[in-house]
Amino acid sequence: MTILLFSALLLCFSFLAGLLGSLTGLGGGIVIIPVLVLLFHINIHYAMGASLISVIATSSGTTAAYIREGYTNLRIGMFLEVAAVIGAFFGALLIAFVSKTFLTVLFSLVLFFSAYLTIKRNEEHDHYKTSHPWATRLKLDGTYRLKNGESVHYHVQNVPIAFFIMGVAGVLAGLLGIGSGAMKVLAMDQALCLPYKVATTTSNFMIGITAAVSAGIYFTHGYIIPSITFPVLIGVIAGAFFGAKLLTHINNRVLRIIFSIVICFIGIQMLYNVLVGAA
Amino acid sequence: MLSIKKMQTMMGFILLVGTLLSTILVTLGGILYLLQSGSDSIQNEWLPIDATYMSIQQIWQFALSFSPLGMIELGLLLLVATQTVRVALLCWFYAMIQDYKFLIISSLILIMLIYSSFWRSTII
Repeated sequence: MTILLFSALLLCFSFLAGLLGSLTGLGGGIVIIPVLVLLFHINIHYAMGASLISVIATSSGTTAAYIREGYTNLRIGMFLEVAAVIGAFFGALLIAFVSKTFLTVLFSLVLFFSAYLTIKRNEEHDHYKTSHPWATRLKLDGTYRLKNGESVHYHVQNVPIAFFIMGVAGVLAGLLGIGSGAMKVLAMDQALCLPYKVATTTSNFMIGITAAVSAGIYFTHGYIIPSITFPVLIGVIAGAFFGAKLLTHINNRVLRIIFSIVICFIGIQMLYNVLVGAA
Repeated sequence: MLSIKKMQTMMGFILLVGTLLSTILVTLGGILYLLQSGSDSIQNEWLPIDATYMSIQQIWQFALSFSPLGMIELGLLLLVATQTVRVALLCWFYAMIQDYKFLIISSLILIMLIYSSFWRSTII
Protein backbone atom coordinates (compact mmCIF):
# COMPACT_ATOMS: atom_id res chain seq x y z
CA MET A 1 0.00 0.00 0.00
CA THR A 2 1.30 3.49 -0.80
CA ILE A 3 1.38 6.24 1.81
CA LEU A 4 -1.16 8.23 -0.23
CA LEU A 5 -3.73 5.41 -0.21
CA PHE A 6 -3.06 4.67 3.45
CA SER A 7 -3.56 8.34 4.42
CA ALA A 8 -6.73 8.63 2.31
CA LEU A 9 -8.25 5.53 3.93
CA LEU A 10 -7.23 6.78 7.36
CA LEU A 11 -8.88 10.13 6.61
CA CYS A 12 -12.17 8.49 5.54
CA PHE A 13 -12.36 6.19 8.56
CA SER A 14 -11.40 9.01 10.94
CA PHE A 15 -14.20 11.10 9.46
CA LEU A 16 -16.66 8.26 10.17
CA ALA A 17 -15.24 7.82 13.68
CA GLY A 18 -15.59 11.56 14.37
CA LEU A 19 -19.16 11.49 13.05
CA LEU A 20 -20.10 8.42 15.08
CA GLY A 21 -18.36 9.78 18.18
CA SER A 22 -20.23 13.05 17.89
CA LEU A 23 -23.64 11.46 17.19
CA THR A 24 -23.39 9.01 20.12
CA GLY A 25 -21.82 11.56 22.44
CA LEU A 26 -19.01 9.09 23.10
CA GLY A 27 -16.38 11.33 21.49
CA GLY A 28 -14.07 10.72 18.54
CA GLY A 29 -11.19 9.20 20.52
CA ILE A 30 -12.95 6.14 21.80
CA VAL A 31 -14.11 5.22 18.26
CA ILE A 32 -10.91 5.96 16.35
CA ILE A 33 -8.59 3.81 18.49
CA PRO A 34 -10.27 0.46 17.65
CA VAL A 35 -10.50 1.49 13.98
CA LEU A 36 -6.75 2.15 13.83
CA VAL A 37 -5.89 -1.02 15.73
CA LEU A 38 -8.36 -3.44 14.10
CA LEU A 39 -8.43 -2.20 10.50
CA PHE A 40 -5.01 -0.67 10.04
CA HIS A 41 -3.04 -2.84 12.48
CA ILE A 42 -1.39 0.23 13.94
CA ASN A 43 0.45 -0.10 17.25
CA ILE A 44 -2.08 0.77 19.99
CA HIS A 45 0.34 3.36 21.46
CA TYR A 46 0.38 5.29 18.18
CA ALA A 47 -3.39 4.97 17.87
CA MET A 48 -3.72 6.44 21.37
CA GLY A 49 -1.36 9.29 20.47
CA ALA A 50 -3.34 10.19 17.34
CA SER A 51 -6.61 9.94 19.28
CA LEU A 52 -5.33 12.15 22.10
CA ILE A 53 -4.48 14.93 19.63
CA SER A 54 -7.88 14.72 17.91
CA VAL A 55 -9.56 14.87 21.32
CA ILE A 56 -7.74 18.16 22.08
CA ALA A 57 -8.76 19.60 18.71
CA THR A 58 -12.41 18.59 19.10
CA SER A 59 -12.58 20.03 22.62
CA SER A 60 -10.99 23.32 21.50
CA GLY A 61 -13.29 23.64 18.50
CA THR A 62 -16.50 22.93 20.41
CA THR A 63 -15.49 25.10 23.37
CA ALA A 64 -14.72 27.98 20.99
CA ALA A 65 -18.18 27.55 19.46
CA TYR A 66 -20.20 27.12 22.65
CA ILE A 67 -18.45 29.09 25.41
CA ARG A 68 -20.39 32.28 24.71
CA GLU A 69 -23.75 30.53 24.97
CA GLY A 70 -23.27 30.56 28.74
CA TYR A 71 -23.91 26.89 29.50
CA THR A 72 -20.27 26.08 30.34
CA ASN A 73 -19.66 26.41 34.09
CA LEU A 74 -16.02 27.49 34.22
CA ARG A 75 -15.76 27.32 38.03
CA ILE A 76 -16.94 23.69 38.15
CA GLY A 77 -14.78 22.88 35.12
CA MET A 78 -11.61 24.30 36.66
CA PHE A 79 -12.23 22.88 40.13
CA LEU A 80 -12.81 19.33 38.86
CA GLU A 81 -9.97 19.73 36.35
CA VAL A 82 -7.49 19.67 39.25
CA ALA A 83 -8.42 16.01 39.87
CA ALA A 84 -8.52 15.26 36.15
CA VAL A 85 -5.06 16.68 35.35
CA ILE A 86 -3.41 14.88 38.26
CA GLY A 87 -5.11 11.66 37.12
CA ALA A 88 -4.12 12.24 33.49
CA PHE A 89 -0.50 12.89 34.43
CA PHE A 90 -0.18 9.66 36.37
CA GLY A 91 -2.25 7.75 33.80
CA ALA A 92 0.15 8.79 31.03
CA LEU A 93 3.16 7.89 33.20
CA LEU A 94 1.66 4.43 33.84
CA ILE A 95 1.69 3.51 30.13
CA ALA A 96 5.37 2.69 30.34
CA PHE A 97 4.66 0.04 32.96
CA VAL A 98 1.60 -1.78 31.61
CA SER A 99 1.43 -4.26 28.75
CA LYS A 100 -0.41 -3.63 25.48
CA THR A 101 -2.69 -6.57 26.28
CA PHE A 102 -3.71 -4.86 29.52
CA LEU A 103 -4.30 -1.59 27.66
CA THR A 104 -6.48 -3.31 25.06
CA VAL A 105 -8.56 -5.17 27.66
CA LEU A 106 -8.99 -2.00 29.75
CA PHE A 107 -9.91 -0.08 26.62
CA SER A 108 -12.62 -2.59 25.70
CA LEU A 109 -14.06 -2.41 29.21
CA VAL A 110 -14.14 1.40 29.09
CA LEU A 111 -15.83 1.14 25.69
CA PHE A 112 -18.60 -1.08 27.10
CA PHE A 113 -19.03 1.13 30.16
CA SER A 114 -19.22 4.32 28.08
CA ALA A 115 -21.75 2.76 25.71
CA TYR A 116 -23.79 1.65 28.71
CA LEU A 117 -23.74 5.16 30.19
CA THR A 118 -24.77 6.63 26.84
CA ILE A 119 -27.75 4.28 26.51
CA LYS A 120 -28.84 4.70 30.09
CA ARG A 121 -28.51 8.46 30.24
CA ASN A 122 -31.30 10.24 31.96
CA GLU A 123 -31.56 13.91 31.21
CA GLU A 124 -34.06 14.78 33.92
CA HIS A 125 -33.15 15.65 37.49
CA ASP A 126 -34.91 16.42 40.69
CA HIS A 127 -34.69 20.10 41.46
CA TYR A 128 -32.62 20.75 44.54
CA LYS A 129 -33.18 23.77 46.70
CA THR A 130 -29.83 23.61 48.54
CA SER A 131 -26.22 23.03 47.56
CA HIS A 132 -23.37 20.89 48.90
CA PRO A 133 -21.26 22.89 51.43
CA TRP A 134 -18.19 22.77 49.14
CA ALA A 135 -20.28 24.13 46.29
CA THR A 136 -21.36 27.05 48.47
CA ARG A 137 -17.81 27.80 49.59
CA LEU A 138 -16.43 27.64 46.06
CA LYS A 139 -19.48 29.37 44.53
CA LEU A 140 -20.04 26.55 42.06
CA ASP A 141 -23.78 27.05 41.60
CA GLY A 142 -24.72 28.60 38.28
CA THR A 143 -27.39 30.04 36.07
CA TYR A 144 -28.11 29.66 32.39
CA ARG A 145 -30.61 31.29 30.10
CA LEU A 146 -33.26 29.46 28.13
CA LYS A 147 -34.04 30.52 24.58
CA ASN A 148 -37.10 32.44 25.77
CA GLY A 149 -34.87 34.56 27.99
CA GLU A 150 -35.88 32.87 31.23
CA SER A 151 -32.98 32.19 33.68
CA VAL A 152 -32.60 28.78 35.27
CA HIS A 153 -30.61 28.53 38.49
CA TYR A 154 -29.12 25.21 39.58
CA HIS A 155 -27.69 23.95 42.86
CA VAL A 156 -24.64 21.68 42.87
CA GLN A 157 -24.64 18.40 44.88
CA ASN A 158 -22.10 15.69 45.93
CA VAL A 159 -18.90 17.63 45.07
CA PRO A 160 -16.38 15.19 46.67
CA ILE A 161 -17.79 12.19 44.75
CA ALA A 162 -17.61 14.09 41.45
CA PHE A 163 -14.02 15.13 42.27
CA PHE A 164 -13.10 11.48 42.84
CA ILE A 165 -14.80 10.25 39.62
CA MET A 166 -13.00 13.01 37.75
CA GLY A 167 -9.65 11.73 39.05
CA VAL A 168 -10.47 8.23 37.76
CA ALA A 169 -11.63 9.71 34.43
CA GLY A 170 -8.29 11.54 34.25
CA VAL A 171 -6.27 8.35 34.82
CA LEU A 172 -8.24 6.55 32.06
CA ALA A 173 -7.84 9.54 29.72
CA GLY A 174 -4.07 9.57 30.20
CA LEU A 175 -3.69 5.81 30.09
CA LEU A 176 -5.83 5.27 26.97
CA GLY A 177 -5.45 8.52 25.02
CA ILE A 178 -9.17 9.28 25.13
CA GLY A 179 -11.20 12.24 26.38
CA SER A 180 -13.17 10.18 28.96
CA GLY A 181 -16.16 12.34 28.06
CA ALA A 182 -18.76 9.76 29.09
CA MET A 183 -17.26 9.48 32.56
CA LYS A 184 -16.83 13.24 32.97
CA VAL A 185 -20.48 13.72 32.06
CA LEU A 186 -21.37 10.94 34.55
CA ALA A 187 -19.60 12.85 37.33
CA MET A 188 -21.36 16.09 36.53
CA ASP A 189 -24.74 14.77 35.46
CA GLN A 190 -25.24 12.08 38.11
CA ALA A 191 -23.08 13.26 41.04
CA LEU A 192 -23.27 17.04 40.79
CA CYS A 193 -26.83 16.85 39.35
CA LEU A 194 -26.10 19.53 36.77
CA PRO A 195 -28.52 20.19 33.90
CA TYR A 196 -27.48 17.95 31.00
CA LYS A 197 -26.44 20.73 28.65
CA VAL A 198 -24.26 22.30 31.37
CA ALA A 199 -22.66 18.89 32.06
CA THR A 200 -21.81 18.18 28.41
CA THR A 201 -20.46 21.65 27.56
CA THR A 202 -18.40 21.79 30.77
CA SER A 203 -17.07 18.28 30.06
CA ASN A 204 -16.09 19.40 26.53
CA PHE A 205 -14.31 22.41 28.01
CA MET A 206 -12.31 20.17 30.37
CA ILE A 207 -11.36 17.41 27.92
CA GLY A 208 -8.80 19.47 25.97
CA ILE A 209 -6.93 20.53 29.11
CA THR A 210 -6.85 16.98 30.52
CA ALA A 211 -5.62 15.60 27.20
CA ALA A 212 -2.96 18.33 26.88
CA VAL A 213 -1.38 17.20 30.18
CA SER A 214 -1.04 13.64 28.84
CA ALA A 215 0.13 14.91 25.43
CA GLY A 216 3.39 16.26 26.88
CA ILE A 217 4.27 12.77 28.11
CA TYR A 218 3.07 11.10 24.88
CA PHE A 219 5.37 13.37 22.84
CA THR A 220 8.35 12.41 24.99
CA HIS A 221 7.50 8.72 24.67
CA GLY A 222 7.40 9.11 20.88
CA TYR A 223 3.76 7.96 20.68
CA ILE A 224 2.62 10.89 18.55
CA ILE A 225 3.60 10.07 14.96
CA PRO A 226 2.93 13.02 12.61
CA SER A 227 2.35 10.84 9.54
CA ILE A 228 -0.42 8.87 11.29
CA THR A 229 -1.82 11.79 13.27
CA PHE A 230 -2.49 14.23 10.43
CA PRO A 231 -5.16 12.25 8.52
CA VAL A 232 -6.74 11.22 11.83
CA LEU A 233 -6.83 14.79 13.14
CA ILE A 234 -8.34 16.26 9.97
CA GLY A 235 -10.84 13.40 9.62
CA VAL A 236 -12.02 13.47 13.23
CA ILE A 237 -12.44 17.28 13.28
CA ALA A 238 -14.44 17.21 10.03
CA GLY A 239 -16.54 14.27 11.26
CA ALA A 240 -17.25 15.88 14.63
CA PHE A 241 -18.19 19.16 12.96
CA PHE A 242 -20.53 17.44 10.52
CA GLY A 243 -21.99 15.30 13.32
CA ALA A 244 -22.77 18.38 15.42
CA LYS A 245 -24.62 19.94 12.46
CA LEU A 246 -26.53 16.71 11.88
CA LEU A 247 -27.44 16.34 15.57
CA THR A 248 -29.62 19.45 15.54
CA HIS A 249 -31.75 17.71 12.91
CA ILE A 250 -31.82 14.17 14.26
CA ASN A 251 -31.75 14.09 18.02
CA ASN A 252 -32.84 10.53 18.18
CA ARG A 253 -32.43 8.26 21.17
CA VAL A 254 -32.87 5.12 19.07
CA LEU A 255 -30.01 6.16 16.80
CA ARG A 256 -27.80 6.68 19.83
CA ILE A 257 -28.65 3.22 21.16
CA ILE A 258 -27.97 1.49 17.83
CA PHE A 259 -24.61 3.22 17.52
CA SER A 260 -23.71 2.35 21.09
CA ILE A 261 -24.44 -1.31 20.36
CA VAL A 262 -22.24 -1.14 17.25
CA ILE A 263 -19.49 0.25 19.46
CA CYS A 264 -19.93 -2.64 21.90
CA PHE A 265 -19.37 -5.07 19.01
CA ILE A 266 -16.15 -3.23 18.17
CA GLY A 267 -15.14 -3.69 21.82
CA ILE A 268 -15.89 -7.42 21.69
CA GLN A 269 -13.81 -7.72 18.51
CA MET A 270 -10.87 -5.98 20.21
CA LEU A 271 -11.17 -8.18 23.25
CA TYR A 272 -11.40 -11.31 21.08
CA ASN A 273 -8.29 -10.32 19.09
CA VAL A 274 -6.17 -9.67 22.13
CA LEU A 275 -7.30 -12.78 24.01
CA VAL A 276 -6.80 -15.06 20.99
CA GLY A 277 -3.50 -13.33 20.23
CA ALA A 278 -2.32 -13.76 23.81
CA ALA A 279 -3.32 -17.43 24.02
CA MET B 1 -13.67 45.39 36.18
CA LEU B 2 -13.19 42.56 33.73
CA SER B 3 -16.49 40.84 33.03
CA ILE B 4 -16.87 37.10 32.59
CA LYS B 5 -18.54 37.74 29.22
CA LYS B 6 -15.45 39.53 27.94
CA MET B 7 -13.20 36.74 29.22
CA GLN B 8 -15.38 34.10 27.54
CA THR B 9 -15.18 35.99 24.25
CA MET B 10 -11.39 36.17 24.60
CA MET B 11 -11.15 32.46 25.35
CA GLY B 12 -13.36 31.60 22.39
CA PHE B 13 -11.11 33.74 20.19
CA ILE B 14 -7.87 32.17 21.50
CA LEU B 15 -9.24 28.65 20.99
CA LEU B 16 -10.54 29.45 17.52
CA VAL B 17 -7.26 31.02 16.37
CA GLY B 18 -5.13 28.27 17.97
CA THR B 19 -7.19 25.44 16.51
CA LEU B 20 -7.43 27.04 13.06
CA LEU B 21 -3.70 27.84 12.86
CA SER B 22 -2.78 24.37 14.01
CA THR B 23 -5.21 22.71 11.57
CA ILE B 24 -3.81 24.81 8.72
CA LEU B 25 -0.22 23.87 9.63
CA VAL B 26 -1.14 20.18 9.93
CA THR B 27 -3.09 20.17 6.64
CA LEU B 28 -0.33 22.01 4.75
CA GLY B 29 2.34 19.74 6.21
CA GLY B 30 0.21 16.72 5.34
CA ILE B 31 -0.27 17.81 1.72
CA LEU B 32 3.46 18.54 1.30
CA TYR B 33 4.28 15.18 2.88
CA LEU B 34 1.93 13.34 0.49
CA LEU B 35 3.34 15.24 -2.52
CA GLN B 36 6.85 14.32 -1.44
CA SER B 37 6.41 10.72 -0.30
CA GLY B 38 2.83 9.77 -1.20
CA SER B 39 3.91 7.17 -3.73
CA ASP B 40 6.30 5.38 -1.35
CA SER B 41 5.16 2.19 0.36
CA ILE B 42 4.11 2.48 3.98
CA GLN B 43 6.84 1.80 6.45
CA ASN B 44 6.55 -1.14 8.71
CA GLU B 45 7.72 0.80 11.73
CA TRP B 46 4.19 2.16 12.20
CA LEU B 47 2.97 -1.30 12.87
CA PRO B 48 3.39 -2.95 16.25
CA ILE B 49 6.86 -2.00 17.39
CA ASP B 50 7.93 -0.04 20.43
CA ALA B 51 8.27 3.69 20.34
CA THR B 52 11.53 5.48 21.05
CA TYR B 53 11.94 8.26 23.57
CA MET B 54 12.45 11.78 22.29
CA SER B 55 14.01 14.60 24.28
CA ILE B 56 12.41 18.06 24.34
CA GLN B 57 15.27 19.34 22.15
CA GLN B 58 14.69 16.56 19.61
CA ILE B 59 10.95 17.29 19.50
CA TRP B 60 11.54 21.02 18.90
CA GLN B 61 14.41 20.50 16.44
CA PHE B 62 12.14 18.20 14.46
CA ALA B 63 9.21 20.63 14.61
CA LEU B 64 11.35 23.55 13.42
CA SER B 65 13.13 21.56 10.71
CA PHE B 66 10.83 22.92 7.94
CA SER B 67 10.25 19.40 6.70
CA PRO B 68 6.62 18.43 5.95
CA LEU B 69 6.45 16.11 8.97
CA GLY B 70 8.11 18.80 11.11
CA MET B 71 5.37 21.21 10.07
CA ILE B 72 2.71 18.74 11.19
CA GLU B 73 4.53 18.30 14.51
CA LEU B 74 4.66 22.09 14.96
CA GLY B 75 0.89 22.25 14.36
CA LEU B 76 0.31 19.56 16.98
CA LEU B 77 2.53 21.33 19.52
CA LEU B 78 0.63 24.57 18.83
CA LEU B 79 -2.65 22.80 19.58
CA VAL B 80 -1.28 21.64 22.94
CA ALA B 81 0.16 25.10 23.65
CA THR B 82 -3.27 26.66 23.03
CA GLN B 83 -4.58 24.71 26.03
CA THR B 84 -1.84 26.22 28.20
CA VAL B 85 -2.76 29.70 26.96
CA ARG B 86 -6.44 29.24 27.82
CA VAL B 87 -5.59 28.12 31.38
CA ALA B 88 -3.16 31.06 31.68
CA LEU B 89 -6.02 33.36 30.59
CA LEU B 90 -8.19 31.97 33.40
CA CYS B 91 -5.36 32.51 35.93
CA TRP B 92 -5.13 36.12 34.82
CA PHE B 93 -8.92 36.50 34.98
CA TYR B 94 -9.17 35.17 38.54
CA ALA B 95 -6.24 37.36 39.59
CA MET B 96 -8.03 40.39 38.11
CA ILE B 97 -11.30 39.71 39.92
CA GLN B 98 -9.31 38.86 43.08
CA ASP B 99 -10.78 35.39 43.44
CA TYR B 100 -7.73 33.86 45.12
CA LYS B 101 -9.16 30.36 45.63
CA PHE B 102 -9.68 29.98 41.90
CA LEU B 103 -6.38 31.69 41.16
CA ILE B 104 -4.67 28.89 43.11
CA ILE B 105 -6.78 26.21 41.40
CA SER B 106 -6.03 27.55 37.90
CA SER B 107 -2.34 28.02 38.72
CA LEU B 108 -2.12 24.39 39.86
CA ILE B 109 -3.51 23.24 36.51
CA LEU B 110 -1.17 25.60 34.65
CA ILE B 111 1.82 24.21 36.56
CA MET B 112 0.77 20.62 35.70
CA LEU B 113 0.44 21.56 32.02
CA ILE B 114 3.87 23.19 31.90
CA TYR B 115 5.50 20.48 33.99
CA SER B 116 4.17 17.68 31.78
CA SER B 117 5.47 19.43 28.65
CA PHE B 118 8.98 19.46 30.08
CA TRP B 119 8.73 16.08 31.72
CA ARG B 120 11.70 13.83 31.03
CA SER B 121 11.64 10.14 31.59
CA THR B 122 13.96 8.96 34.32
CA ILE B 123 13.42 5.29 33.55
CA ILE B 124 15.65 5.09 30.45
